[in-house]
Amino acid sequence: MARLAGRLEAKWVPAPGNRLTMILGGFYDGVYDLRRDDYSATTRQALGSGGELRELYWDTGHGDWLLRLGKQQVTWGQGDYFRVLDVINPVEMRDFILSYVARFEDARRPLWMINAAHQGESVETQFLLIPQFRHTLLAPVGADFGLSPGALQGLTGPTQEDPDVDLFNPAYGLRVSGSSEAGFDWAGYLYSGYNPDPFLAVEAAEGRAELTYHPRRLVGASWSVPVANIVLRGDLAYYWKEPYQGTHPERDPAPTSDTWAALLGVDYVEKHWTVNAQYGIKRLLNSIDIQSAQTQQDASLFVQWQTLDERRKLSLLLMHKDDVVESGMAKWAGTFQPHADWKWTLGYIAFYGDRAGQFGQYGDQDRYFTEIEYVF
Amino acid sequence: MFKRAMVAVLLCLLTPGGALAAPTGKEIMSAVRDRPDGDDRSSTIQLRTLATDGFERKMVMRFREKDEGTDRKTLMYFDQPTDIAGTGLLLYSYEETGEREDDIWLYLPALRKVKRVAARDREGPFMGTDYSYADLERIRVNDYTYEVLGEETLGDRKTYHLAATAAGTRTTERTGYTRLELWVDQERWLILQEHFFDRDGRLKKELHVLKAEQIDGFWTAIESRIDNVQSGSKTFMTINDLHFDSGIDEGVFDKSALTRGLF
Repeated sequence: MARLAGRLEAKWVPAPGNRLTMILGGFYDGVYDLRRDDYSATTRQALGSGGELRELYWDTGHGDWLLRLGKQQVTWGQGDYFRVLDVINPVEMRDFILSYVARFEDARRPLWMINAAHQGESVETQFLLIPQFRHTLLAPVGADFGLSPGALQGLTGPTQEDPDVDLFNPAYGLRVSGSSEAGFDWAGYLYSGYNPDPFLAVEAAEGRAELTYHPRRLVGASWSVPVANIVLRGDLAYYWKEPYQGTHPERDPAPTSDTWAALLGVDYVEKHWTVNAQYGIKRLLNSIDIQSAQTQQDASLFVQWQTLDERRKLSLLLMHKDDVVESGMAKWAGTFQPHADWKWTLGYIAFYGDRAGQFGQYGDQDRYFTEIEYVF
Repeated sequence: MFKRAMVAVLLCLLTPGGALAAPTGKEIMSAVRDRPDGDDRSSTIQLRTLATDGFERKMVMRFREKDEGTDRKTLMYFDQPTDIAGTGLLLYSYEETGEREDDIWLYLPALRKVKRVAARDREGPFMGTDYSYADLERIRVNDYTYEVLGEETLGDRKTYHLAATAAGTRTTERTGYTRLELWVDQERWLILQEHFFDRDGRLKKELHVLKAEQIDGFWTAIESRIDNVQSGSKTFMTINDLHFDSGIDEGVFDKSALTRGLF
C-alpha cells in the first residue's frame, strides 16, 4: 500500500584506475503496519522493513587485467527475466517475480567474490571465485506471495536462514567472450557451485517441512547479432544432475536429472517503440519422476511506446509459462515525468491460468499499483 | 601521420587563397570529415534540453574517442541525471566506404549487462534530447549528393552554403532526413549551421554553433544548440575539459571494460 524504498550509492576514486563503490539499500512497507491482523509476526518482520549493505567492491587493474573485489553482482547470459545462464547471484522472490521484473538490480542478492577479467587481443576471459552462498529469498508462509499453507499439508512451515560462509567449498565461474567482424557476439560459460533455489523436503517423523539446497554445475553459451533493425540473441545451457522439485518430498526432496535449457530472444528499438520477445525451453533428460514436467516452456513479450522526449511511456509485459499446466502474468504501466527529478507510474498486474501453475497460484493477487520516483 | 599530411594538402588546395578552382560540395564535406582532430579526444559533454512546457533535463557524460586507422572507437558514460548514471555506450565506427555496419553496445547498470544494439536505425532521439543518433555520428560524405549554393557570412565567419540531398532511400530510412542545408567555415572546416528536413521535406531541426575554440591546435565547436522547430524544444550542448592526443589507453574501449566505467 505504501512502500518506501531508498538507495544510496557512493564512489571514491583515490587514484586513477582505482575505485571503491558502496551501495546501501533499504525499504519500509506500510501495509504490514496498516493491516497487522492480516499478517503473521514472521511476515511483518520479514517484509515490513529491511536494509543492507547491498554492494561494496574495489575496482582496480594492472596491464590487461581488471579486478573487482568485494560484494557485487554479475549478470551472465542474454536472457531477460529467464535465468538460463544468469546463475551467479540468487534473487529476491518475496514479491514473487514483481520486484525482479521492475527493479532487477534490487531484486538480486549480491555476493562476496573475486571477479577478475583478462582483456586479450580478441578474447576476454572472466574468472569468478565465490566463497559465499546465499539462497533465493522466498516469502514466509501466509505472505501475499508465500508458500500456501495447503501445500504444506499441515506441516510446520520452513524458515530460511542463509547458511554460514563456506570458504572451503567456493563456487567457481569462467566466462570467455568475443566478437566477430560480422557483428556476432559470443560467450562460453562454466560454473560449478550451488543452485540458490530451495527445494521442499519433508521430515515426516517430526511433522516439519524444510528447505534444502543442492549443487549446480553447468556449461553454456550465449550469442547476439544485429540483423537489419533487430538484434537476435540466445542462451544455451547444459546442467549436470540439476535438482528439481519432486512430487514426493517426503521420499526424495530433490531428485536430479541432466537438463538442458535454451532461450531465443529478439529486440527491436526505434524512435517510439521498443519490442522484446523471448521464448525459452527447459528439458529434463533423465527424470524418474513421471508426474513432474519433463519439458517447461516460457515466453515473454514486452512492448513499450514512448514519446520522443521519453517523458511519457506506456508498456505491456506478458509472461507465460507452460510446465504441467499453463499460467501467466500481464503487467500494464504508464509513466509520466513531469519534472526532471520526478517520475510517476500507474499500472495494473494480473495473474491468469491454472491455479496449480507458477503464476496461476497467485490469481487472487491481481493489483493496481502506483509509484513515485524521485532522484537526487 | 600520413592521414594528417594528406588532409593538410587537401585543406591547402581548398583554402580560398590556395585554391585553383572553387571546391565542390563533396570536397568541402570531405574536408570537414577529415580535418585534423588528433588521434584521440577526451571531454566532458553537457546536454541541456528545454521543452515548451518548461520541462528541463540536464545530462552530463564523459566522452572518449580514439582513431584506429580509418576506424574509430567512441565511449560515452553518463554521470547525470542520477537515474541513468553509469549507463555506457560503446561505438565502433568503420570507414564509410566499407560495407561493415557500426558496432554498438549499451551497458545498462540496472541490468548489470552489456547489450548489443542494432546500428542501422539512427533516427531515434539520443537519450530523449533533440539530437538524434544520426546527428552525432561521424560525417558520412557519400550518403548525400551536394550542391554549393554560394558563400555567406555568419557573424564574422565566411562560409560555404551547401545543400545536401539524400543519395538514396537507405539514407532517409537510417536518419529520417531527405535533405540538409549546411554552412561550413571556409578556414576552419567546421559546420557552423545546419538545417535538417524530414521525410515530407519540411524543416525539422536547426543546428547552430554558438562558440568555437582552438584547443591543443585543433578547431572545435564547443557550444552548440539544436532547435526542433516542429516541437519547439531545444537542446544545448557544451563540451568541457577537451583534450586531444592525451594517449587514451586502448583497453578503455574493450567491451568488458564497459561494465566498469571510467575512473
